[in-house]
Amino acid sequence: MYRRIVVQEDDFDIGAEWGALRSSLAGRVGAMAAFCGTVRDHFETESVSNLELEHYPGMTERSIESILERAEERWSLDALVVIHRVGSLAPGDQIVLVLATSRHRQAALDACAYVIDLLKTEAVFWKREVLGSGARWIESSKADHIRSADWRKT
Amino acid sequence: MTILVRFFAALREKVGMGSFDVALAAGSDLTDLLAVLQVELRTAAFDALRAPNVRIAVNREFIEGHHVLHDGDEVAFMPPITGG
Repeated sequence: MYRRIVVQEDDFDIGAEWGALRSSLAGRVGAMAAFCGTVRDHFETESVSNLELEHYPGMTERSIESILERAEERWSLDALVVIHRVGSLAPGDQIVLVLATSRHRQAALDACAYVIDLLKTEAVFWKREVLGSGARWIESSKADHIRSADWRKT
Repeated sequence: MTILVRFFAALREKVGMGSFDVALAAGSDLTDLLAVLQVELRTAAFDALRAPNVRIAVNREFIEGHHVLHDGDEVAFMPPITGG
């Protein structure tokens, strides 16, 4: 099992990450799934000029590691990669990349969905939206908590 | 002993800084640290720390209730996380 967690200010190159992972697996797996989250340009009716992400170095990585450990227990996976950006991001910017690989597609797809759903409620990040009317700290949404809780039932 | 106290996100803004050192007597616990913070911080900032949804981590692990501190410990006050 290969696991990689990166928290960084810099952007990431999905193609490069995908290619590096694919070549390292060298035919051992039959499925690769990816999810990439990007910054939305609107909150309700207001336009968002920036999204600022704050983290707690060390603790943030540990919170992501705990999610990946549980994914590895649930599915037979070969690799899990999470790259998460912090700092000041603009609408359209990439925020997070999740890659999951397995011998078969369902495990890779499910693990990818599981990891991003749990990242939304458990990963140690704080987000602040800069709007035309000022800035506000965001709270995680009820919908995110419902999705995260649904995984605990299955 | 010296404890590093850290504040994140909205709490960092309320306190007006991200971290500072607090000197405590050996054997002190979280309650002793809070007593010092109550004196050193503005009332609004201290009240924000004590909000029921604020979680406390010692050395990057969440803790609940009574906790004895040690020299060099890092105590973080964390408002609800937004997630990734």
